[in-house]
Amino acid sequence: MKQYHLVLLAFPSIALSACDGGGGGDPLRPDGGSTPEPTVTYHRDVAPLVARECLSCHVEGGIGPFALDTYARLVEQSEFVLPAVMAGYMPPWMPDPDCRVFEHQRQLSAAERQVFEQWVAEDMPEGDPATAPPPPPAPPAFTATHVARMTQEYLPDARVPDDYRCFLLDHTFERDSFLVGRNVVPGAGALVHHVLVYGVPPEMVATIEGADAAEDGPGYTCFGGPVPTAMETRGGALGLVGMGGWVPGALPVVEREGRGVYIPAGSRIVMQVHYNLLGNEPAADRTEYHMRITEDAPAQLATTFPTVILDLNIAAGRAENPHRAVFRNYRSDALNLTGLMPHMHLLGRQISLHRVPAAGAAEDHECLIDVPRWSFGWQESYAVRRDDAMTIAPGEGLELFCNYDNSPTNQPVINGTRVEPRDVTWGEGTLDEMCLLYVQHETPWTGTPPARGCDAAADCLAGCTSGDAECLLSCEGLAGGCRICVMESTLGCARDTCLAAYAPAAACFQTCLLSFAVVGGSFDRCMAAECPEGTWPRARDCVERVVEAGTCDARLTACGISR
Amino acid sequence: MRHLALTLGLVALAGPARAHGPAPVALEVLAHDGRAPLALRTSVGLAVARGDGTYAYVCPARWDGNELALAAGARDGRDLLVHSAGAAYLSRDGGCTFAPLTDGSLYVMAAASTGQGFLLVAEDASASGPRRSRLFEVSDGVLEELPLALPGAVDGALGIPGGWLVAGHAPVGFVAGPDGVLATFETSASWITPRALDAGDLWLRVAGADGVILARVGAGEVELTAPSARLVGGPIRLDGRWLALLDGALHAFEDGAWHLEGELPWTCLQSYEGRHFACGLEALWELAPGAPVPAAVAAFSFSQLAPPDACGEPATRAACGREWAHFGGEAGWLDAPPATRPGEPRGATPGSGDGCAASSTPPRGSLALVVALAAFASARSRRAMQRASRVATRGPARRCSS
Ligand code: HEC
Repeated sequence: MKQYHLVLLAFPSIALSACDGGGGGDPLRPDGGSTPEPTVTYHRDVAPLVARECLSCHVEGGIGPFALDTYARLVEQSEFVLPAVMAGYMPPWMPDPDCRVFEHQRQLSAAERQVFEQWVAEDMPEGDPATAPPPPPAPPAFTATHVARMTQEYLPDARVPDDYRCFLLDHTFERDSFLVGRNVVPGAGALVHHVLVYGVPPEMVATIEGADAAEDGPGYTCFGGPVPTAMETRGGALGLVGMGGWVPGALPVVEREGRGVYIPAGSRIVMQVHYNLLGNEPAADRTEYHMRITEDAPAQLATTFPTVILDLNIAAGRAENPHRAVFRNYRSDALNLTGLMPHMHLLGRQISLHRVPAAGAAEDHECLIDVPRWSFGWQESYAVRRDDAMTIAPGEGLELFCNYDNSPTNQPVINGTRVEPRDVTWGEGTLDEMCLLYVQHETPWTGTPPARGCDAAADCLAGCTSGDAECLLSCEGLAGGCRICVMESTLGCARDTCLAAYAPAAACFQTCLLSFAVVGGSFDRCMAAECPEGTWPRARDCVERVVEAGTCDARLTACGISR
Repeated sequence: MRHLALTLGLVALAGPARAHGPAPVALEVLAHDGRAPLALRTSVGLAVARGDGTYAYVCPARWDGNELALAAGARDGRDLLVHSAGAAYLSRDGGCTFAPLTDGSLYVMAAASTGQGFLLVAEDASASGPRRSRLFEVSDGVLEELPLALPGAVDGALGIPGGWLVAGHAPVGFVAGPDGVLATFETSASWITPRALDAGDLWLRVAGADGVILARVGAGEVELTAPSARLVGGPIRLDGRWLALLDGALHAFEDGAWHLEGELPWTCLQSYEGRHFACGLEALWELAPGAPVPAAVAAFSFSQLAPPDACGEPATRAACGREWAHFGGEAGWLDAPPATRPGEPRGATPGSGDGCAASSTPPRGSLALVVALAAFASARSRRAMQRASRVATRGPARRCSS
């Protein structure tokens, strides 16, 4: 009786200070030799789960700290495996499944976790290999049409444990193309910790080339993103095209049949690699980005825009620094979301995106993604499941939420030095922060490439004669660069004259400038909906007078909009 | 040359690892007995000397699981105070168990060791409006409020021989000690902490919009000393000079400014009761006078870190074991017993601390001892022993369980 008690008490604990090494029978076993037939065995029940959820990382040479690919190895680590599995800590998966389940989610169900628990409780019987279920069919191999490479090998900096480096890859998109599949192939195995890949549109190539040239050796130092702080306007990252992220265990991504990411001719690729040199001998790396590219237009275009909060104010010492912003859909079509990729730095605690109902509608906010415990080391892009509709109808919005813990006891250790609190704002550096969530959505292919710049712009622009400001500001379907040009050459141009008329609409200006820049749609419709009664018509009248007087002609012409 | 030697030393110390987190690094000596550090804070939790040259891993699960918690240690290394997310926890048994020291009504911002006891700086958790600090003395595990009026909220505290210093930035910059306010000054800084007091110089770390700068408080005035940096270590006073790490490079203070002395693989500079330490990856170095850079001798290395002792509730022990695997698995600590001397690799010392012999074929006698010791360990370890004999085909059957 007493012995039985001991076993029960000791079961969840861990052998912390003894050696295993031989030893005979177990006097503490409650039921002597009459062990009942095990209900779960390694070969039949446990190994398939381990193969499915663990072995992408826990194999010899993998990123996991030990291999779990044999019975003996799993038994050896069982005292760690059980708490890690039961706590939901392994397999690692950051988004909260109660908010949303994504494609390729790594997760053990509650029942599957119980299999581990039961197996350990039954003293880890091996069972008969013959009872193993047939292995699941191997996923179809990823075949690339193009491979983008670092121009040279890079030897990570051995003086720092964490080396963050950006590389402009050797591939240039000669023609308008569509990316339909992608796969990151790390060069120096366990050194490569995570990879983020961005398309650089032609107008930004010079900026990235400049950053690359400014530093010796292959690539350049970068942490938060590939656009160096010194060269960027604060939102430099916004012009890039998200082309996916990779962490250990991530699978190749193939777009849904008939969908592709549009990459304009002249674009390049910049890749950020985080090398972790902890205990590893530095080794030369040449991580590759494998792509499946087609020049045939797909039925659906996948486009990304970043929802972003630039006005970060993260106070020294404060544990809660919540930031929220809503991006409403002022387009006339619905947004069909297909992928989400959150990004923060080291003080980030939580990031989430919710669908907010149209003004006046009595629905609840709907959770689209929630990463309740942000971890910089586990950044991925998450693909919306095929059977999941994430639709943002006109008038509905996306609410981005970021929270930061800047208290003294949540300061990161950066290259071995423990940081102390200070006020933190937006920036690309390790000590700066970001609140950024790339949203991928799909739109039907219209037969012509999406407009870039204003010259090949939407039909409405051609109809906006004589620099008609109202027409310009309600024109939909403008390319990102053109939207900014339109805002600068109308609202910006008229600012000095119209300051008094702008002032009562200051808050909605903020909201609509950002949401127009990011989501697109009609700036006019946004202002009409968001501004206090009557304030926008007054501001707009003023802008129209200035534009009609020809004051802004030079600026409009520079955008490619002629009278 | 020294740089080269140190770098080589580091490479030799680093074990094989596969990583998904930052490298473990020693951050601070919490207690020292004149021969070796008794307790240290590291980036993965605390390490407490076991008396045989090895250090027990004091895992974050014993407080709230936050390995980034801050800590202060009393002189004998038995009393350890940890604070995390506004709550303070006190251990009176060398880190084996921790008990909450504060309830939810206080939000702890800082703590410092005052030799035998602690100074605790807290704010009322429910307070709104400007921050207001309260100071407490912790002695013999009892919290007692100090009646001291401060000109502002405290950002940080520093234990100094026979007392303590606190500093803050809002609404004015100030430094205060047990006898009252020492200085107040106008500042636009966002965080100010006291760093060092020696030879009549009091140093503050001042974080502002343009980075961090060290400030010297002299007679009635505060002098900001260029250059500013992103990361600052120290300063310490060694051999009659003030030394600091500015963005990882060693600087010496001369003629009112910091001058570069050399690039060293150091990540912190600290003084503890007249001794001086530099942190580095995998090891902590004790510094001795030397020119142009101080001489360094390893005082602690992660190879000395042993698995956590079986302390506390079963659930805590399980979580603690997972943390050991989490950090130790990455750093390659699971496979071999700890070393008994700093700088020695793991598995080099026969019969070291956790009762595990290092060689794979230990002499009979020591195996008997191991088995005898194991008899006192938990029933779980017996299960492990039994298992190990069953899976003996997997190579070296002996493994230090962790
Ligand atoms: C995507 C890669 C990946 C997968 C899949 C994965 N692990 Fe891990 N595992 C890691 C990494 C990396 C670590 C090191 C700690 C960290 O960074 O989280 C780790 C650590 C561990 C640890 C040590 C304890 C700890 O918390 O760190 C255990 C035990 C573990 N994994 C078990 C498992 C089991 C069991 C599975 C499958 C159910 C699994 N892992 C799936 C990557 C993975």
